[in-house]
Amino acid sequence: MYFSLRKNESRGDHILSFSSNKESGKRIDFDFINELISRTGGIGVLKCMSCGICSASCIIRKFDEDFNPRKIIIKAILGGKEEILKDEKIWFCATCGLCSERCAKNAKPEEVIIAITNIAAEQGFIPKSIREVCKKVRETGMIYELDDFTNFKRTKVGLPEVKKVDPEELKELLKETKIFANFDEERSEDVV
Amino acid sequence: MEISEGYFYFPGCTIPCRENNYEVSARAVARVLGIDLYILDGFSCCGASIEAVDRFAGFLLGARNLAVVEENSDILSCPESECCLLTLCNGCYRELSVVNDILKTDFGMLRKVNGALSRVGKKYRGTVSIKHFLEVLFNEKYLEKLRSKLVRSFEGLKVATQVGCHATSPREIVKFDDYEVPTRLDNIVEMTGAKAVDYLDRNKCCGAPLLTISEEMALILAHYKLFNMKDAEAQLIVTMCPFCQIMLDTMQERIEEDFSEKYGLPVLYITQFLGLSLGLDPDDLDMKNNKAPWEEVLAPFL
Repeated sequence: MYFSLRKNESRGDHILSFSSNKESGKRIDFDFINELISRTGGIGVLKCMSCGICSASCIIRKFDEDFNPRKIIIKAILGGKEEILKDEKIWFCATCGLCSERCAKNAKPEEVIIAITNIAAEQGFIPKSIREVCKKVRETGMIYELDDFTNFKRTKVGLPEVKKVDPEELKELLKETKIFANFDEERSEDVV
Repeated sequence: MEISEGYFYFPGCTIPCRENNYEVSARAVARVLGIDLYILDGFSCCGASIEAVDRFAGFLLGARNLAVVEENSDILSCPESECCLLTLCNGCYRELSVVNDILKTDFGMLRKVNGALSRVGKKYRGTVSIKHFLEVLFNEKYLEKLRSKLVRSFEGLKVATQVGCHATSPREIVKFDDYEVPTRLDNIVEMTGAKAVDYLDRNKCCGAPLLTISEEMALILAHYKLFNMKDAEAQLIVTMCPFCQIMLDTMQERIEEDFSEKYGLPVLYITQFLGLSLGLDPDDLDMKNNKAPWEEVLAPFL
C-alpha cells in the first residue's frame, strides 16, 4: 500500500489517497520517523491519526493557512521530510500548546513540531532571526543585553541587581550539545 | 550564614531588561504580605528561547538554573514544605517546570543533563519546586491577608484578563489554571470589586513567541486579542506575563497604526492592579513605565 498527498487544483489543498501503484505514492518514511522518536517530544508522531483537531484549534493557522500542524506531521510521516525541513513556516509554532491540550490521541503536536525544527536546525536550516537570538544566548546567557546599565536602571527603582552566569561556564556547559554548539557552521543556506 | 525567611526568585531576561515595573509592583505587593524575594547570582536565560533550535540545550540552561538554587537552598528558610523558586514570567515558569518534570521522570535525560552539568561543577537533584508568584497568593493565609488589606474598590470597572498560554499548558505539569476556561486570574481581579469580562478567544496566545520569526504575525495575534477585548467592552487589561504585557501594552500604539484602529486600553500587571487596590500609589508601582495611557480610566478610582 502506498500513500500520497495529491494536490487538488480546484480546492487548492491536498487529498490523501491510497494506491497499490509504487510510482504514484510515497511509502511511510520510517527513517525519519525513527529520527523523530529519538528526540524529546517526537514520539507523538506514532500516535497521530491526522484528525485535524490541532489545525482546527491553531491560532496561527487561523491567520496564516500556510502554517498547518496536521499537514506538517502527515508530511513528516509520508516522505515529505525534504519539503518540511526547508520550509520557513515550521518555525511559526508559537508553542502555545492548545493543539496538545486538545489532541484526540495525546500526541502533543506542538512537541512533534519542535522536534522537527530541532532536526531542521541540526541540518543547518535555521531562520536568520532565530540564529541571531541563539548567538546572543550562547555569548551572554540572556536574550537581551544585561549589563551595568540594566542594573543601574534596576537600582534606580529600588530593585536588587542581577548578576548573570559567567560566560566561560556557559561555554563549557553548552560545548558538546549537538545542535547548539554547531549551529553557525555553514552547512546549508539560511531558511530566510 | 544567617538564614532568613523568604522565597528564591528567578528574574529571567525580559523583566530585568525591559519590564522592571512588573517586579517593582510584585515586590510592593509581596512586602504588604510579608514575603521576601531573593535573587541568587549566576542565573542564565531559562532556556525557552533556544528550545526550537535545540531542546537539549534549553534543558541544560534550565537545569543549571535549578542546580544554582539547590546549591544555595540552605540560605533561605522557605515558608512552603519544600524549597520553592518563584517566577513572574510565564515563559520561565513553563520552561523550568517542564525541565523539572522531565528530569524527575526521564532517567536517561537526567543522566545526560547531569553529565553535562558535572563539567561545570553542578548537579541537578530535583529538590526545588517551581511556582508562579501568583500561586503564592493562592495560599489561604496570604489570600486572606490580601483581602483584608484591600482599601480601594474598582467596582464598576470592566477588566479583560490575559492569563497567557504558558501558564496553563502542558496541563499535567503547569498547574496554574485551566487552559480552556481559566478563572483564577479573574477571581483575583474580582477581589477588588472589578468585573472580569469574558471575551472571544480569551485563552489564545498573545503572539509574543513569534516576535523573532515574524513581527507581522505576532502583531496580528495581539491585535486579535485587543479587538476582542474592546468588543467585550473591557476598559482595562490585566496581564501576568511580561511577554503578554509587551504585546498588548508596548505594541498597542504600533498595532493602532498598522491596523488603523483605536484602542486606548490601559494594560496593567496584576500586581500593579492589586497594588492600587491595596492603596499604593502609581509611582510605588512604577506605572509610568506602562505605555498605554491609564490616567483617564483610573482617575475615578484613585
